[in-house]
Amino acid sequence: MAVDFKDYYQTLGVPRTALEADIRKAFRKLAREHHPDVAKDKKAGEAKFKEIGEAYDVLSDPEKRKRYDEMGPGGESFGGFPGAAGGGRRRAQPGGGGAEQDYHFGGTTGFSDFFEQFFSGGASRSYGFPPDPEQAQRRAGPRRGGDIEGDILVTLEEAMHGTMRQLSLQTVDSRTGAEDVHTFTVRIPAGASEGRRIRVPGQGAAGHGGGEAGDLFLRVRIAPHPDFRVRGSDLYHDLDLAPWEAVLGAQIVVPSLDGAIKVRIPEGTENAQQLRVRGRGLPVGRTGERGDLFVVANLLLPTELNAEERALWEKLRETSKFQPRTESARA
Amino acid sequence: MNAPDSGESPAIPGDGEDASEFYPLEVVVQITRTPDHVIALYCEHGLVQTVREHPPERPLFDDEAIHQVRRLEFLRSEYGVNFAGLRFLAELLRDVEQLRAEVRFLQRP
Repeated sequence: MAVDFKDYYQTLGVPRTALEADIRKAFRKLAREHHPDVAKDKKAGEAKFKEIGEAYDVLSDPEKRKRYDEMGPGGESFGGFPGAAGGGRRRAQPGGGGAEQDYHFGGTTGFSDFFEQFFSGGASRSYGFPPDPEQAQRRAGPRRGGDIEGDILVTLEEAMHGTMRQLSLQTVDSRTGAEDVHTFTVRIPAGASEGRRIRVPGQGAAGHGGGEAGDLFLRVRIAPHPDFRVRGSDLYHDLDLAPWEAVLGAQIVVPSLDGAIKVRIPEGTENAQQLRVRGRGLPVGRTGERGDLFVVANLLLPTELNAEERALWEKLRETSKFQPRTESARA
Repeated sequence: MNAPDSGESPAIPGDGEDASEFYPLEVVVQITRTPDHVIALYCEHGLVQTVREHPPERPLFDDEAIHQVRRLEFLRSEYGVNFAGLRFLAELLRDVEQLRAEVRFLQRP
């Protein structure tokens, strides 16, 4: 199936020479602008938000970015991209006859067809069927079809509350060229964490000799979020702080999935120190329990000083007893 | 676990729109066609994880566990991997998954 090339640099509005920091900055700006919670048109906002997330997923990963850049500025050589064999589709090899089937997801996994073909992390793995067609042919009786794996992109908000997603899976028999499309609804449960697998029974490879079809396993991929990083059911928010806020303490409003919350920054907070806000993460299973939100202190220093500020910093240098280095390091 | 809108699927307890996303051992036995003592052995040695909030005498399993049982059985039946090999591979795969997740976490904005 032919797919349209995606210009991820254009999506993020950065040049091809952009540094990692510029890409991150552009992503954050656009993601905040098009976040479904703030977009006027929620549906269009969500689509754009996922598009931005997909572009960031590729351009923020050095290996994926290198592969993407090799396709050329307009994707001139993306048809011949190494590793594109098999159309990049999910492929399962049913046990009988050595025939192969290609599987292609409709654009409802949250990823574009282009991403699915070239950058989806889901390897085409199948279990529960004989790997050797000749060996398989010798086996008599009904055989269950292989399982298929694929990725599904989920926003943090969807992971928080759960959602229903309609998927279409196109099957192409590479021997006969016959196409078949299955459409089905997948429920993403609340608390779906990164890498978690969701089973859709009977949507894998067709069985043989009257055997039942395999299952489809969808691996959850959490879409990048401008405010949070996710580890299991915990969320991390990087909070930029002025030196005096870290030294003297402060009360600062930070975002959470439940809305803005006020966090007390204690006196003497160090850079990269993590402040835990209990129960503001993602749901853990169905217990009603939730993970935590970690606010990570990110100290920033002023780079431009006016005369008054300079005088104050100089006075601090003269009066402060603070010694950042040990005696031996100072020698 | 999800039930497809169309197409035929085996009538296994636990399947269906309103089904629980967790399965008791007997349902896992049916879905994976793996004897219960084998699944119990996998659990005992940490190769398959049960849902942590349930008591060990009444274990529940999720889709990840179903996938893992199938993977282990595939390695065992098709490649003749013995138990020690399964344990080694399971640990290796778990480490790889964790490292992948960590890399993704660190690459986030």
